[in-house]
Amino acid sequence: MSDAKFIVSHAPYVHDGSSIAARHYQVLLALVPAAAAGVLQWGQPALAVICLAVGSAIAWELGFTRLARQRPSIGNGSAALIGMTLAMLLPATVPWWLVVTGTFLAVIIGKQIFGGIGANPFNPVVVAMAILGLSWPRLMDFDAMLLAYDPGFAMIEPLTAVKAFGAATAEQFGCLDLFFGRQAGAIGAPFGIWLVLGGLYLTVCGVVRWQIPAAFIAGVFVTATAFHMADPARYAGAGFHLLTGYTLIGAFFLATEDSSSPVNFWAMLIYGFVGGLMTVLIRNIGAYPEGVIYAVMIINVINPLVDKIRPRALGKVT
Amino acid sequence: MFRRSLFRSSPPRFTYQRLQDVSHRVLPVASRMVMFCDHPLTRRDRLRIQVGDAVRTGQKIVPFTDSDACVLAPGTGTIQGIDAFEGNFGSRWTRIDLAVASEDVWDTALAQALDSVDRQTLNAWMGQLPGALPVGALRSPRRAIETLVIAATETDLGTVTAQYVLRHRSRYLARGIDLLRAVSGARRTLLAVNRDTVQGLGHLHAEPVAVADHYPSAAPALMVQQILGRTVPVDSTLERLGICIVPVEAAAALGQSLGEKRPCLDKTLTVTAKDGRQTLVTVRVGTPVGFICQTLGIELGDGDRLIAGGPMAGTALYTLDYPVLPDTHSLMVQDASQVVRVGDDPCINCGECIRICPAQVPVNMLVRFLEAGQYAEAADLYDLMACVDCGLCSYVCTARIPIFQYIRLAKHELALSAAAEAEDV
Repeated sequence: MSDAKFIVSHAPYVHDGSSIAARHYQVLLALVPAAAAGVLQWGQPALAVICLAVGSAIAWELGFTRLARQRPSIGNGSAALIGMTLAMLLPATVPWWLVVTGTFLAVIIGKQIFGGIGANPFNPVVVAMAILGLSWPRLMDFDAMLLAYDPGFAMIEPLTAVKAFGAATAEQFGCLDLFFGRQAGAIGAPFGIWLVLGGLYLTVCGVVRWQIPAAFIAGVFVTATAFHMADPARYAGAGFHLLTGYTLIGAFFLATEDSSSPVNFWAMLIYGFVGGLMTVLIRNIGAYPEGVIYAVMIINVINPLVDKIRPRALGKVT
Repeated sequence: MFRRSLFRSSPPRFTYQRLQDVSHRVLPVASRMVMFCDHPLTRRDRLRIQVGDAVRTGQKIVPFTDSDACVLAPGTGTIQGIDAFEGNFGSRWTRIDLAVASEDVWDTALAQALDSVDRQTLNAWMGQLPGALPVGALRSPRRAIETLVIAATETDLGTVTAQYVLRHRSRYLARGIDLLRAVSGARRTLLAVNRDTVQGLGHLHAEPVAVADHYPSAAPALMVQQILGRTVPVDSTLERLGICIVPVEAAAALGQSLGEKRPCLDKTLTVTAKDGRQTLVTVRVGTPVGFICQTLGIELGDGDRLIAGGPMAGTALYTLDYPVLPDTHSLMVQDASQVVRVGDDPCINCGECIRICPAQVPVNMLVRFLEAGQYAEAADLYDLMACVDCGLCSYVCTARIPIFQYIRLAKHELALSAAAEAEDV
């Protein structure tokens, strides 16, 4: 008995069992319903994009860690999650090379060159989407890309329609239709119902900090309502803005990315609210019909600053 | 107890364990004892003792000619070895092994010292009594003690030692408290207890005050905030505020020493076996932990973890020879399968630590500075010194970063550099 070799380590000697991998797989799980709905609605091309995005994201990360002679990190699920989230934002019919380029931008440019997981100042998926949107605007245009589809509802992207033809166009989209994903859009982003359920699941599990999506949605609601009240003919109401484009996936899955979002209570509320506000500002008075991507980039930038708003530590005077 | 369920939107809350259904055993005196003297052993040191010397139970041993660091002999026998011992953070001790040969023969040299104790006669050896009396703080000529706090609260999770002492040794405790009141000259004497034990303490000449029962409410800075409504500034100490915290067992041991006219050597500790089964044992200070495990029938194998202290802030041991020290309130054994390894992933900024930190330390930012070894910046910008050493941040860390160890190391390094600067000046 006396020659047994014990494990010597430091306190504490207990752990709650959480891990980075478990956290990322939980987020992946929360995206599965929206992804499944996307595959049902857009068919086999959507499935191909999802598989290619997840697979290529993992491959990029593996390749990078090999090249940089780092310990392989694909097991923590971060790359798979990036691929999955990116796929949720793309039209189902994008060419394969755009998907592979997108995951390269997200994994390598968005994350690895900053030092890998935890070090990225921006949400990697948002970085990739911003670059893709600027570089290949026609391939990211839902109206052009989804011409072949005739699912039995108006196949015109709601935000673009409102931007071009005014708020009256919004009336042709029923709120319930929009919420259940009966709208032209990306693979996963239109399915509000499944995104909200997935987001709530993550909130209950403590993966998503509720303050961020709540404040984001409040920001969209308040700003859109203000615009709508100022000029009902030009600006659509809050319900429309909440249920179209990337609003819900942005609130629950993009703005909440750990590394690029704040952790203190008031900071999270400000961060989320500014995100919602910027989204509507860009949509209503900016050049683009959709504002979530740039709004999230902007709040990622202000994150280090707002996260300085924190409670005073114990025993800290002034 | 320590794993959390999948659904956890709120941070976990741990409550200090209650003294219920824990049996108590008095263990026999071990045949080998180990004394740790808080002084490094070097070749140049001249020693007053040598291998083969006979010692008697309760004898005050002062091993070094140039230091008054001392230990109390836990048994009657002969000294078998004197070695250097290195502890955590490079702390260096002198280890004295004792072969206990016969029945106890009590040394009487300290009996006289126990006749009348006042501030002047408070001696270093009293710090060796079970519970570890803070002799330095009580004797400090610089600061008067205004408030004396007898802490009958537990120091960690999974221990019931303080509650046991409060309930079962109250006669000695009363005497110890009276003495400490007189010695310290404190205007207020408080007895900090857990909420449900405030009743039935009237015979103790101390004002019972309740401390919240969730961990780490009994950490000194948090306790003072609760019971005195005062915040300890990060650049100050309890001593400077005139507050002295005395563990309840130290007060009881002092009272017992006075009553029996010989030093009390019996330490009570909570032992948690691999299966979570708990036993309170009373042993002599200096009993090797291996003896306790053997007597209680706890089998130990490769890869197990043996912890002196509790699960949140204890010390993992590498040898069964490690003795019960005056401040060892619990002993915990973990099976190899229960050991969670730390990770080497960076912080992903999930914010779990922020939500659980009882001192509102921005742990997510702090750990970035600590990993880079920028300790001074960590203290200046990110409230390193506000930390109350509870270990909860490491417990919830998704990336399994040993945050608590980083914090301890940083505090240790800062203390070293502060000491070096003081020497230069």
